[in-house]
This record gives sequence, C-alpha cells and structure tokens, in this order.
Amino acid sequence: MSRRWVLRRVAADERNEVAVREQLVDVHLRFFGEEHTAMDPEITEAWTLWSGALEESDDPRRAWSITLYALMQDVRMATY
Amino acid sequence: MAITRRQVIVGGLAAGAVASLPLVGRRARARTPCKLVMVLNYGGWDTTYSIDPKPGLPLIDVAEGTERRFGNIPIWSHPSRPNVDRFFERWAPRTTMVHGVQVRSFVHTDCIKRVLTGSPSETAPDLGAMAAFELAPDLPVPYLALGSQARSGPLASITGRAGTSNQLVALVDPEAAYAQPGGLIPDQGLIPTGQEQDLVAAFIAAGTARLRATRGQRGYNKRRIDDFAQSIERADRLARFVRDGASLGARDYTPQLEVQIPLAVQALRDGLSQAALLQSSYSWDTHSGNNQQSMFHDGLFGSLDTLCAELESADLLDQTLVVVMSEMGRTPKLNGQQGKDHWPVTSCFMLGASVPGDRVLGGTNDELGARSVDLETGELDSAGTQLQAANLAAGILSTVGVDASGYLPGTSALTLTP
Repeated sequence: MSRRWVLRRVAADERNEVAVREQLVDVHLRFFGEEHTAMDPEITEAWTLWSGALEESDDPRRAWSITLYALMQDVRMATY
Repeated sequence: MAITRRQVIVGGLAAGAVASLPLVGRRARARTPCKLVMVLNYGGWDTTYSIDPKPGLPLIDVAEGTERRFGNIPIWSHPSRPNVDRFFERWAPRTTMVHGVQVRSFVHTDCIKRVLTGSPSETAPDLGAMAAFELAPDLPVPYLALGSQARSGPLASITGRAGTSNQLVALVDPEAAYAQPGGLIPDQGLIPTGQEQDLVAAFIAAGTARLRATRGQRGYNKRRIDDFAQSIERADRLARFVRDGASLGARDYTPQLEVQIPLAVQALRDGLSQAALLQSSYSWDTHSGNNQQSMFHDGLFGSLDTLCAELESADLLDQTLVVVMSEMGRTPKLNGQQGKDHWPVTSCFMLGASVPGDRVLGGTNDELGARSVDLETGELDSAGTQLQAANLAAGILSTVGVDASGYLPGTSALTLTP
C-alpha cells in the first residue's frame, strides 16, 4: 500500500464497512477539503455508492473505481 | 409564474447592458435559426490592405496596389496578395461588407468585448455563446471555442474549448488521441455499466441537491450549480457522440486557422456544435513594420477561401453565417517605426446564411473616420447614426435567429438581411 496515493487505508480486497467508511472519510478530506466523521450523511451517500457498485461487480477494486469516478464528478470538485 | 434559468441569465445581462449601453432603438427581429462561425483577427487589422481601399488620399498611408472591383465591392489588390483577389473572385457575390464600425476605444481588451459581445461588460458572453445557448443548448458542445479570445461569460457551461492541441479528443477518445507504441492500446478509461452509471448519477444528484439546499438556493450560486449539473450531463452526451462513431477531429496545433477550419466544419456538420469562434494566429498588432499586414491578409484570405469552400461542400454555407472581424482598425498614417497604431473604427464582412451578397454597408471617409448610416438599410446617410459595435452585434444575432433584445435591450440592430 506504500506506493498508493489515494487509497492508503484499505487493502485491495477490503469489504468491511468500517474500513471502507474510514477510507471514504480520508478521500473526502483529500478531494474536497472537507472533514467528516464516518457516519456523516456525505460518507453514507458514498458508502451507498461503493456498496452498490460492489454488489454489481463483486469486485472491491471496481467498486473503488466507480466511487472515485463519481467523486471526481461531484459538484464539490468545482467549489473546492 | 416560474422563472427559468435562461430568463434569469438573459435578464441579468439585459440589466447590465441597459445600465452601460444607452443605445435606444427598435427591437431586433429574430429570423430563422442558423449556425454561426466567427473568424477573429485579434490585434487590429489594417483594412486599407484589402477590404477598404483608400487610394490617393493625403491623410491615409496605403500599401502599393490598385483598386479592383468585384461587382459592387471595391478591394485593394496587389500581386503579393493573390489570395485576397482569389477570395473575392469566388465569394464577393455572397459577401456583405460593413465599414465604419465604431468600437469606441483604443484598447484591445475593451474593443474585443465590444465587437464580440456588443457590450462593454466584462462578463457578457460573445455572439457565438449567445447563439449556441439560445438555438441549440442540448448539443454536446453547443459553442466550440477554437480561439483564445472567446468570451463565454455566464454561458461557460455550453462552451467547449479545444485547447491548443484539440485536447477534447483526448478526453473522450484516448485511442484516437494518442499513438500506440509497440502495439500498446491506450487505456480507454472507466466505462461504467448501466447499473453503475445509475448509482453514480444518484450520488452526484444527491451531492448537488445538498449543495443547492445549503449554498445555492438562488442567485449566482444556484446558476453555477445548475451549470455544473448540466455540464455533467453534457459530458455524457459528448462521450456518447464519440462512441456512436462521430469524431472530434485530430490532435493538432489548433491556433492555426488551417487546423481550426476542418474542426469547425466537422463540428457543425456532425451536430456537435451550433457556433464556433475561429481566430487567426497572425500578429496583427503592427505598431512597427505595418507592411507585415500584406502577408497576413494574403494568408487570412487563403484560409477564408478554404473555410467557405468546405462549408459549401458540406452543404452548410446556406445555413451558416460566417463573420470575419477584428476588434479595431489601424491609424491612417504610419508612425516613426513604419507601423500603425490603434484606431477605433474597423470593418468586417460576412457571408452565408440569408445575408445578401455583392454589397457594401456603411463606409469610412477620407480620414478613415466612420460615416453615418441608416441602420434600417445600412446605406450611408448623413442624417443617420454612427454604426456602433452594439448595432452590428444585434444585427448578427438577429440574422442567426436570436432575439437580440434579450441580450442587448434598447439597441437598434443593423439590418443585415432585408
């Protein structure tokens, strides 16, 4: 994980909700400059997306790709 | 009554224009919609080199040449500028020349605002942006800005800038944009399934709704959030446009007209865009060595011939208005460096769409000052009015089918199409 730049808090095959939420908190800080707790509505929305994408592909890597793809289209990117 | 986003934008622009542009007159009449291509020559062209001949006048220094008439249009001709003659031999029957346009400033930044937008406002969109927004906001890239001076203002979300190497291609079609050394296939990027796309769309919508509820309930913030949301939808439309087999052209050095022309024609033909701004790369601002204008004019008219020929061969010229302009003119007399400085009167010409050809509107006098015109006819009229950039802009908008009164309220439009 040391060579990673974005997803530093989860293993590639991580599916645990607590771990994924912690990673989403970290991504929100890095992408949007926003501090959240793991149960904030913004993180829950992202978790809903991640878990939905996982259900679709059964592949955590793919779920993260879809999540990052969505986060980079979020309006907060334009208001950062 | 619900107020739409368009009404808000147009109303805001109208209020600004009313405050800054006291040109009272009749409303501009909108006509059948057509496409718009503007060709900008930024820096200030010396119109005496081609389109506004001024031979034998003590107060105007002109290059070598002779006056040649192409129907009703006089042109300053010289063997060193064969493309000028060639252009008018072919296109004069379709060309309307407009002389004596007042730009009311000696400063590039102020003049460019006036000729492109019809307004002195810093934030007004230019004619291409207005036309695209009003006539075809749902195209993938309604307004294609191939020149650096394009001014999209509050209509930025419908504007696509191709960048200096047509980077739009790289965004939506990496395989077409990059070479494939050693048989490597470029990363196509993430292509979500339909279900995944629905999840992404729901996520984006939720985030947008939250921001709208907290910081964007009205005014500027609301419009910018709406713009952002629509940009996301338009990006998908653009990607589908390419996936369905259409092309955004090749990677190439877009500051050159030769590269811009096929991109613009293709964009209009394939339904990518409604309007485009092209910009020649010549250094027209000849404060020294004004004789460079000869070479610039020759190169420009060669490119314009190509543009019109390509539009015609694509069956687009009858439905596309081509406007060729510069934001200012150059002084009548040469300065000490054999250059010419800024001049607040310029000319432009247009062809295509429903504009009649073989005619000259307005005029300049023996000192290169603007002569008064009757805005209803464009004929010289000593009892008429000075033709302002705003009048011309309103006339262009009306010609392409946009009700100019929404953007330039109270401005009399120069009648370009009887």
